[in-house]
Amino acid sequence: MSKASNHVKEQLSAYIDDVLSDEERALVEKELASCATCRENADFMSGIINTAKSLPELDITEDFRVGLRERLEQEKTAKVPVRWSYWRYVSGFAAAAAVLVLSVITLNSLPEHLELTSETDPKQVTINRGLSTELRESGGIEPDSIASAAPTEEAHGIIYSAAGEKAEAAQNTSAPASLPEMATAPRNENNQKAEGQTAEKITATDDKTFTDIAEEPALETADEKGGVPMRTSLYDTNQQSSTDAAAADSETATPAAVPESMKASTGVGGSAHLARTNTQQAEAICYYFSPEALESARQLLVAYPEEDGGFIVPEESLPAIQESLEALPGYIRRTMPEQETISSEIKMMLCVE
Amino acid sequence: MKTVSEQELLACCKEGDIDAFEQLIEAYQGKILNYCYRMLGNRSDAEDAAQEVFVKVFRFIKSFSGQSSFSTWLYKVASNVCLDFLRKSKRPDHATVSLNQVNSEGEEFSLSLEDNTYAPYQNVQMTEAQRALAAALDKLSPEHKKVIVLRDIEGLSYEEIARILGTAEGTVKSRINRGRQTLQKLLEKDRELFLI
Repeated sequence: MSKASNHVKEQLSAYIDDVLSDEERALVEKELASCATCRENADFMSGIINTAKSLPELDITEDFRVGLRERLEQEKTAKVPVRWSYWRYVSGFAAAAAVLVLSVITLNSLPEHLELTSETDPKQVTINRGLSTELRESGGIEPDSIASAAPTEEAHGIIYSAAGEKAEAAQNTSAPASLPEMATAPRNENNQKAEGQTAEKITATDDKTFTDIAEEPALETADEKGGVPMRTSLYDTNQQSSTDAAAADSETATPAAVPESMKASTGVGGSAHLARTNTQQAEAICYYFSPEALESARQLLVAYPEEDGGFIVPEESLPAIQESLEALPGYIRRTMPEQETISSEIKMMLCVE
Repeated sequence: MKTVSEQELLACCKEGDIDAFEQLIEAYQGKILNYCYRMLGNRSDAEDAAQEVFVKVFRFIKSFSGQSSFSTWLYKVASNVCLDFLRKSKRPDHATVSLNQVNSEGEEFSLSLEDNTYAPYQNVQMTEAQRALAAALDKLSPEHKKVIVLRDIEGLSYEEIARILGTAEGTVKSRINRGRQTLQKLLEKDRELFLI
């Protein structure tokens, strides 16, 4: 096949979809006019496409409708405030700073997490990340939709800093700064506006419902730079832990629903521990954040595909994400990985204790 | 953008109105079910996955601001749900079946998969060409299958697919090209079926 024919072969798909420039289309048509092999190749591709369009489809059956209705009803009524009850009665924890912990889970052996002091009882967050192209490409939920929504639903274990002296003290000491560039204008703008008004902003947050929080302008993600949008989702690892106690091999923690009545947080507390997963191959790095940084941290992870209760983040995005996470106000510290070697499939799970 | 009625329905859905939600998704149920069907290869999984998609959307609909397309959001959720299904399909108590899959470079490799009624389009009347194509589609890597299904079966634009996948249009264009060329390689022996 000639060079021109090879070139046309690469352009055929775009030509059939009519997404070539006028100049490119003209070149392809010229070659098609003179090359029988190219014409047949084009016909072959067109034939495949037309056959694809004609593939039989499934119909929506009554069983499907009924089954869906049942599940929707269950979804609506399953707003059990398990965690709400727990948090309601938490007391004594010096949990002014509910800490978000991001950790890369060691899939082969998940170590028990460090017990943190009551001064800063952390909320542990683990980020799932994956390396495959497929995974990279599969993360696609817009920040302003399910991505933002996820925390509303699944992160009922996350407690935004309650009104309180310690909370205010913690808040005042963590004056918001501009987020790194990866977190874009809307958030930066909000934070910049909030400078000098930390307490006010946090107080406002306290009064917000989760829905309000979720409706805040979402961070633009790497999508702007042509990368993969990020999404975040959080689930209650306590919930998972209790179910996992009964089913040690359970792969997925089903996030508990946020009770409709559960609005502003009332307090924080609890100990942190790594979420158990059945995933494999990763090393553990734990990130600790203050509750004020929780939303920002979550936004940085928004739109990554979810797996086994966590989120898949491509490895190539990891350095940038880590940099952004560590630049967030409210970032506290991270623990160093026990193993230097990173295995081929690394998962970071984002979950909340 | 959304019609007025869709916006009204959306408002009701945010209040937890299931009837409104069912109306809202009526136009999309078939599309999402069949998207899942193409990706997962059997009716049972497809229906399960599709229901999961709608349950998730219902769960998070309060935070859907409406700035993006509802359809885009549905496909994104469906994409992730199908991925979850594909990953969870490897259950040790099921028999495994070795299949040859084709990676993004067009190279075939063996992949052991769940024998979980992995028989796409069973008991469905199909032409020889359709059957050959369905079998070839199932050999594509998930990333290629996804774009081919979205483009050639769901009929979405490059722009829409790019939004769903969260990637650039150029990447979509390239992936579709690769996916189609891979299909051509897989269907080479059945070439005549597709030459009209």
